[in-house]
Formats: sequence, structure tokens, C-alpha cells
Amino acid sequence: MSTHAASDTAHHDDHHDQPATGIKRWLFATNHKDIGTMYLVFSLTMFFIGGAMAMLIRAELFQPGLQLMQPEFFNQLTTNHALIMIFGAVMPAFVGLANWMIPLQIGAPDMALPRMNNFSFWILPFAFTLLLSTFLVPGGAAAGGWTLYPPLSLQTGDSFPMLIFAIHMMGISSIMGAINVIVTIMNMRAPGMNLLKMPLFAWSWLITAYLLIAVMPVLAGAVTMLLTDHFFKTSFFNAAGGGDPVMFEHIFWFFGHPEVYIMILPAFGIISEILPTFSRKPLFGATSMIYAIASIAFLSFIVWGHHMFVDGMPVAAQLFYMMSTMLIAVPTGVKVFNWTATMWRGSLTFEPPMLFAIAFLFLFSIGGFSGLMLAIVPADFQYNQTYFVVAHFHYVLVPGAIFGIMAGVYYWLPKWTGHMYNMTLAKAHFWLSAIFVNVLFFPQHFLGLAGMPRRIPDYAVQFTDWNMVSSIGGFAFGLSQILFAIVIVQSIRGGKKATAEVWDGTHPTGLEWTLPSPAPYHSFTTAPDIR
Amino acid sequence: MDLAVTRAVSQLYHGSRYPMSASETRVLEASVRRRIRNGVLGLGCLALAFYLGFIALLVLRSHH
Repeated sequence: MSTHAASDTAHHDDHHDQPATGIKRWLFATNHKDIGTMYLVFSLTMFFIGGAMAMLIRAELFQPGLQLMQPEFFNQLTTNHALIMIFGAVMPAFVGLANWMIPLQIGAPDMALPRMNNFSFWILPFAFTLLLSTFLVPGGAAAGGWTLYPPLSLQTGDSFPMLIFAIHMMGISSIMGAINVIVTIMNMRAPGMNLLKMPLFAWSWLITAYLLIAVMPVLAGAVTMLLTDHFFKTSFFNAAGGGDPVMFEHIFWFFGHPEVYIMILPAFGIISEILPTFSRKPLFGATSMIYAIASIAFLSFIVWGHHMFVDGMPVAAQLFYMMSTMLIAVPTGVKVFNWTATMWRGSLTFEPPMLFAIAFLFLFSIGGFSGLMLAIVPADFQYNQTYFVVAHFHYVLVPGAIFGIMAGVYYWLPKWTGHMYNMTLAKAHFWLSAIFVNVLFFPQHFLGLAGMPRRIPDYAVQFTDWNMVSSIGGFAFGLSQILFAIVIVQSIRGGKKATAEVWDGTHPTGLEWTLPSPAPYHSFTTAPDIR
Repeated sequence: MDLAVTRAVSQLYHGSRYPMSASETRVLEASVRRRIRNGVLGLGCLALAFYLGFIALLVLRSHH
């Protein structure tokens, strides 16, 4: 793919249409780069707030017995840690990356709906202020787990309507963001860029956006019904009134399982961008990667029952959910094979994005394998509600989704700021994260297999040693993330100037690398010519 | 006169040779704008259908 006009455009753009100054620039932002930046800053803030909650949880679990807090507060922490990390950290980070990179990758001047883009971001600070303020109301924050299962969630105190309203706002924000991504990709690609020429990150987001539109309204519907059960005496999920609490679980996981893929598919896209660059080879099987992502997205709609094996269901249903879940390993295997084949005999260099991408490959696979174990019905009966499940999904979400985000940030940061960052510090961040994420989560497999239940502030003494190890890993992993913030701030403030290609000698493909670094405030005001 | 205004006035009188606005940002063709609007409406309706559809399903279920 070659482009013309891009550099001319970039040069031209330097002279006019500078951003507004002061708070107005951010309040009334319609520029995709500004909104992307706001999403990423918001996400990082939420990452540290959710991370602080995780550190409190690990501090309480450092030893058996109640150390620092009452069980009610512990449950509030676990519930809100999950809600904040999922809806406040991971999802907004991917939307931020999409805002920054999709227009640059497809040669569009901006997102198709810039004002809606502004609105979908500014909903989030209100939603999360509301969510965090639930800690201050009588009865405390929601404590029934992020899954909000009734009847437990219906016993939440005064914070219940605040929680439901916050979830609705997060959902509306996500849906608007998804609509924006789809219409931008479908209508604003540069002339000559057909869908198969589109970069993998944009592809992964296109599929993710469809998932979001399909499942976020389902969550909204479920929590609306919870609200009416709580305040208007309906009995959708209230067994005493003839309702069915298990039905909530079905609806929740019809949302919840695709949600897992919403949090991982964009990371797949990022990894598919980074590995070829630092292997100095084209991506192996690019088309099959697209089909694999689409297959995973489709399968994510028909596997939700594997979260509910212990609820009791017909054997035929158990078999169906088990087999369909295992089937996901096929397209995922295709992806892992293609990534490995991309690196095979490549001229590999190990800059921070590549390090995070390789760690992603290994550690996400561990999460995938433990997922396969959990898909086996009789094994799941044993593992369910234990720390094995906690270990599994944290391997998928931390060295999976979050390492994917960090890889993406380290890959594109010089393109955003115009400065190379401190490689030594970034590599230190990588090694500390990669080591301590395993110290944190790997022992939780042992704890789960030994029978330690999840969502408890206290435990039997035989679980003490591995809990101590896990907590030490947690504190070290948490503290090492401060390096991430330092690297970003340093890169914004200055440093060695980045070239247009940023990663010199790697010849990365993609339109974003035809623009100077930092990317001009208005880019591709003239459509690039794709050949 | 300001450069941007000059260009805008020029376009008023002569029409634009290229799909550019006064500030030289790309102006989307009417057909693209229409496709975007239809896309937003379609996807918004789809989301609303999922929201109301699941609630309706459960209301129906609770009556049987």
C-alpha cells in the first residue's frame, strides 16, 4: 500500500486550525485525537483507582482472619474493582485507542460523528463519579459482585439506583462509541482502501463494535428489570413473586460472555499490528486473522451457558455449551499460530511494544488454556467459585487485555506526542509487570485447585502461604504501574524527537506512519491515495 | 480579508472545484453524509430493539 498527498497534507496542516486553548479545548472537543487522549487519561485514572481497590483486597488477604476491613466493605471493594476495571479502565482505553488510531489508519479526517463522540466521552466521568460516590451513601456501595445476581443485588442499600443509573450511562456511552466506529469505518475509508486492505486493529474494532451494539442493550435491559423489581414490585427475577433469578443469569451472561471478547478482540488487533513491525515481516495469514476474529465474535454469542453449569441444566445443554466453548480454541489457535509464524525467522528486536506483545502471547495463552479446563463440565463443577476462576479471568484480562493496551500505548505513543520515550524505564516497567503479574496470579491456580473459595475476606490457614505470595506480587505489580505513568508524562513533556516512521528500520505498514510525529491536529484533510 | 473568508466567498460565487470547506477540511459528499445518517439510525434502532426486545421477552415469559 502506498500513499500520496499524506505528507503534503501534514505539512499544510501545521499552519492553521490549531486547537482551542484552555478547558474549552477539552469540554467542547470534537477532534478525534483530543477525545482519544481524554479517553486514555480517564482510563489510566480509573486503572489506578481500580488498582488501589485491588491492593486493598490483596492487603486484606495477606493473612487469614480479618485484618483491615469488615466483610461488607471487602465485598464492596471486589464488586467495584471489577466494575471500574471493566467499564472504566479496559473499555475506555480501547475506545481511546480507536479514537486516536482508526481515522489515522483508514485515512479519514476525523470520526464520522465528532459531536456524538464528545458526548459519549463526557458521559463517563459522570457515570463513574456516581458509581464511586455509592461508597458514601448509607448501606455502602453494591456488594453482590459485578454480575449483580438477584436476589443478592436487590438487597443493596440506597446506592442501588445510583449503580443502575451509572451502568445505563456506561452502556449508552459504549453504544454511541460503537456506532461511531462502525459508521466511520464503513463510510470514511480513504479511496482505494477496501476492507481487506484495512489494518487489523481497525478490523478488530469493527467486529467489536457490532458486539457492543448487540450486547450492551441486553445488559441495560437486565438492569432496568432489576430496577423495576427493586422499586416497582415487579417479579422478573423474584422467585417469591413467580419470577426466575436464573433467568437473570442467562440474560447477564448473554451480555457477559461477548463482553469478555469486547475486552480482548481489540488487543488481538493491536498485537497483529506490533508483531509484524518488530519481526520485519508481513503478518502471516492476515485474511485468516480477520475470519478468526469474526468466528470468535460469532461463537461468543452461543457459549454463555458455560458460566452457569452448576445452576443445573439438561445434559444436552451442558454438552452444547461445553463443545461450543471448546470450539473457540480453534480460531484462537489460528491466531496464536499466525502470530508465531509471523515471528518465525523474522529479524526480531525487542522494544517495549514487542516485549508486551510477546508476553501477551504467552500469558494470554495460559488464560486460554485454563479457560478450556473450565469449559469441561465435570471439571467446572470442581473449579466453580474457587480462586482457579479468579486466576483464569485475570490471566485473560491483565496480561491479555491490559498488556495489549500497554503494548498499543508504547507502540503509538511517539506518534501522539512526537517524542520517543525513555526505553530503559519502559523496559523496566515491562519486566516488573511481566514478573509480578505471574507472582500475583499464578499461585491463585494452586489456591483454587486446593479449594479456596473466591469473594471471601478470610480463609483457612492452609491457604496462607500462596495468598502471601500473591499479595506480594499484587503490591509489586501495582507499584510498578507508576513507571507506566512516568514514561507517558515524560514523553508528553519532551525527549528525543520521533521520526514519522517512529520505529526506524522496521518499515511499519499503515497510513499512520506516513504522517509526521506528532500527528498534526488535523490529518488527512486531503484523502490519501491508496494503491 | 481573512484567507478563510476569501475562500468561502469564492466558493459561494464560483462553486468549489474540490470537496473542501473554507478551512480546507474535507467535506463529505451528500451521499456519504446520508449513508452515515442512515447507518446511525439503523444501528441505533438495532440497539433499541435489543433493549426493548429482551424486556418484552421477559414480560411475555412472566405471563405464561
